[in-house]
Amino acid sequence: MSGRAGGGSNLQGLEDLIRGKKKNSLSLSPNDALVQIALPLVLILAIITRLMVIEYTEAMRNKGPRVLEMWKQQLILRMDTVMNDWEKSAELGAFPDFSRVQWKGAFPADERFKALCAKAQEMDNRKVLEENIYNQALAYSPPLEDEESASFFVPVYDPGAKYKPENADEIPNEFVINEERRAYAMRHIADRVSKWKEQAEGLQWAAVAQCADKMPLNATGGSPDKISTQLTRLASEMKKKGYPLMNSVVEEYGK
Amino acid sequence: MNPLSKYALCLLFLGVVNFSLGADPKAEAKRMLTLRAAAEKARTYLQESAEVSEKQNDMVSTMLSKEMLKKVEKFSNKKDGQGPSKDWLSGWRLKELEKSVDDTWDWAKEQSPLPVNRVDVIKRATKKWAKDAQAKVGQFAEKSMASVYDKARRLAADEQLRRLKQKLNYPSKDELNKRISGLIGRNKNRWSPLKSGDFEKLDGWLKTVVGKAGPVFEELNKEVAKMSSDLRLEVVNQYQEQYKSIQPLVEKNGFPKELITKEQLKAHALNLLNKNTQENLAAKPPRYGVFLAVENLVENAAAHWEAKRMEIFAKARTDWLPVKDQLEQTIREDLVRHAPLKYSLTLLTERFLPPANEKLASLYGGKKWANYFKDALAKQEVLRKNATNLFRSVVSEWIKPIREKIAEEQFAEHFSTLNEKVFPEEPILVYFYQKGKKSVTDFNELADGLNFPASDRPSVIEETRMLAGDRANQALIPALGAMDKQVSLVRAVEKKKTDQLKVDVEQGRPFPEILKEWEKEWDTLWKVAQQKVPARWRSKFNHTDKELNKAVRQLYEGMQNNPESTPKDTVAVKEDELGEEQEDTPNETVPVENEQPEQEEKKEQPEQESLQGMCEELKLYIGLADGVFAFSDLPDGKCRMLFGTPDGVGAFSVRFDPQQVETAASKISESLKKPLGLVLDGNARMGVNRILQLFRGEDQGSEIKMLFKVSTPAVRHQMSILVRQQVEQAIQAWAKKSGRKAPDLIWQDDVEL
Repeated sequence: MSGRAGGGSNLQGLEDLIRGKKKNSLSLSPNDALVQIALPLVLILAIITRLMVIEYTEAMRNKGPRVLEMWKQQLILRMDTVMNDWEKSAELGAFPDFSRVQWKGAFPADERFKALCAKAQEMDNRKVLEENIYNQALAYSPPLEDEESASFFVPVYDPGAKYKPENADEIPNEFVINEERRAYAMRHIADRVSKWKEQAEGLQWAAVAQCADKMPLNATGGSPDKISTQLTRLASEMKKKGYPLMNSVVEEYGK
Repeated sequence: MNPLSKYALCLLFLGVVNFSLGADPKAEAKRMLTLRAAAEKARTYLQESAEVSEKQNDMVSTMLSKEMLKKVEKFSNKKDGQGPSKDWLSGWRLKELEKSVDDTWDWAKEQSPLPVNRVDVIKRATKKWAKDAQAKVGQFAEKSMASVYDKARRLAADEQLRRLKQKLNYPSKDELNKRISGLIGRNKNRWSPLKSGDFEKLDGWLKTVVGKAGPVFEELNKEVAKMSSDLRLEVVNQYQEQYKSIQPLVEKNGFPKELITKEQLKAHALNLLNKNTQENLAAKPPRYGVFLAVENLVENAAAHWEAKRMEIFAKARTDWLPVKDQLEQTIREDLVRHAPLKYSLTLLTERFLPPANEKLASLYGGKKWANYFKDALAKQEVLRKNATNLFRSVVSEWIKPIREKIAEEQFAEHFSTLNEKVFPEEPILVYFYQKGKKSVTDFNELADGLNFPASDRPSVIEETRMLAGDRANQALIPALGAMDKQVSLVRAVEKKKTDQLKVDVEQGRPFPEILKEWEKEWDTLWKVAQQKVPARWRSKFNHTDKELNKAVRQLYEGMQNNPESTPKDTVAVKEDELGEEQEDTPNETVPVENEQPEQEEKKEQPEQESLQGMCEELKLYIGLADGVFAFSDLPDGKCRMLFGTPDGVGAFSVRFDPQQVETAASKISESLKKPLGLVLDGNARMGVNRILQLFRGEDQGSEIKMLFKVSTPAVRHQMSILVRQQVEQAIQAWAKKSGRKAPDLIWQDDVEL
């Protein structure tokens, strides 16, 4: 672009050289600066920032003790098994991002996403879900045919829990869950549920965005000045189609 | 940090934020929901804008009225203002809509965590925003016009009226004077005041003065007109007040007696006017002071009364006029020039008016103003005219008895015979009768009849001529009437007895016997007819005897010479019995003008008789008749008839065989139709002129005189009778066709035996 300078400016440059004047090496126009420097720089910085965010998230996830106590191992084994099952049934694994959701017209056409939405409803009452997972983890017994796996499971007993094993008195104290141990277990479950919720909410918000984009405007108008109305209306439409949204999404602007 | 670096950093920050947030589906969802809400809101605005609401009506009307006041010219006409009003409403509604969309967009920007574009909002609301919005605002304007337009016009008109009243202008004194003076029109000498209606012509101008702000709304035309008419009434009022203060002077000669010149009169009236008129141009409405038009009126009135007062003075006395003896002496000194009354008055005026005027100026102006009025009488049109008219009217009255006296003297001297009982003797009567007269209408004619010497005639004054004419006609009219009746009875006998005469001639009955029988027949008819004739004229005229004798003789001899003819045929006349006067006319009979052409005869006689030649011939008969039938011989034994008027109208000639009387008459009749029509038309047109009478008061009715002039022995009286009958028929036919009254035919035979 600087090369576009006319013959006049070339002569001026030559004259400057003869007279020994210092030549300004950076003679970029604003457009040149924007295209050649700023935009690539912005792009590079954005990528770096994104990578840093992902790194940080991953680091936080892997933070924890390396060697666990026995009760902890047992509890984590049981809880992860139950939660893996839940996660599998909720099809969360199928949707690492929203682009995996099948779409037709203004609404999704994806059975797995439908299952996810249905399963995600359980997260509307997290306490119940987490207690259910804890109780299911305490009560978990591996299938009889899987002898190898069964050997890893040792009965654990929580006197405060709903589930009570047959020979609870015989269970050593090492595997008896007290308040402190239960709190640990519950935190473990909550962390995992939080991630599920985050993922499910992300997917549902993306679905809301797409539906909002593609759904025709309401002919009657209704209360156009309320965004909550828009959301409620959209959620209702999605629910009719078999994609109920989580309360945390629907009630973003209040109940 | 240079600006470039700042710019780059700013972009960097925005890029980072945008990229980070771009990954947040919740934010994007919220943005989309906001966009939807905003779009629905915008669409609602669009749909709502079909008609102005009651709530908006007042506001919109007020705004439109303000727009109208800004551009009155555009909106002045109610009908024409609708278009611009609709445009304004559309524009206003579009702005409102855009504003609502902007508000919505602002709201959306506040609600959404991500940026929201205005274009996105509009696109989402409707696909063709510009078109839909235009259609909607158009619809809005259309529907809202009824409720908004009238109200807006009312508001605008009220406001304009208020402003006009506030800024009401009054015309300047100079301008108003100019306009009022313009109302006087061309007659700058008028001294009658302007009427209030005259001031209505100022309305157009006053309107522009009142409505100087420019064009006004149609609704205000009446108001503005009223304002201008109020202003006009004020001007009229002031004008009339001024006039009233001088009205007694102007209308009723209310000036002091001692003031005689127009300058004196004017000064007096203006003093009075100024005294009674107060000027105050600062007042509202202003008091304009004395109008120039009133000053002009005063000046004109002064000029009028100067002349009028002098006229009154002159009428009241005679000492400035010549004495009657002077007048009589002057007339008698030169009777020839004073013969016509009109000339006499003019001669007397020329001679006596200048000294009379001089005397009048001295008497009226006294020593001081004698010269002034002497000059005025010579130079000022009105004064001169007044004095002249007065002089003439008095002198014409004075000379009447003088001239009557002279007339009686002249009558006694020259026309005393008219008073005698024997007047008129038969020769005089025959003289006038043969001229076709029923009365005497011209003095010279009378003088000729009475053999009054031509040399003495010029000194006979107009009154004497009138007296002589009146006296002569007293006796002549009944006498000529009696003679006319007697001769017409001869014609009646002639018609009745012609067929019998043929039989009598065949039987060889002697002429005296036949004549006696005809006379007897005439006597019988006259016995009845004479009842309507004055006793003095009941005896048979010698002229009647001659006419009867001539008629019988001509017919008798004609029939005797044509024994082979059928009873209806006429007898040829012997050449030796024809009249002495024979015209040797070598020219062939040739149609010249309005004539029925005869091809055969044309071939035989290639030489044509010129119209000029005929006219020359016809000139011989000027004053004798309206139409002349002149018969003459042709070298080949045939005859030629020349018809025409002395002035050449309808002249033609026809050639015929005199032996075939009826054929010839028929031929003449055919040729005569058109020319005779021309003569009759000419006579009808000139009717009044032709009967210019010297002796007024006698209505003779229209008449046509035909002279049957025969200069050939071959044509006999029978031809005259036949032609006359055909002329009578032609006159009747012409009268029927033209819708005019048939004139009386006066037939003069000049058949020389």
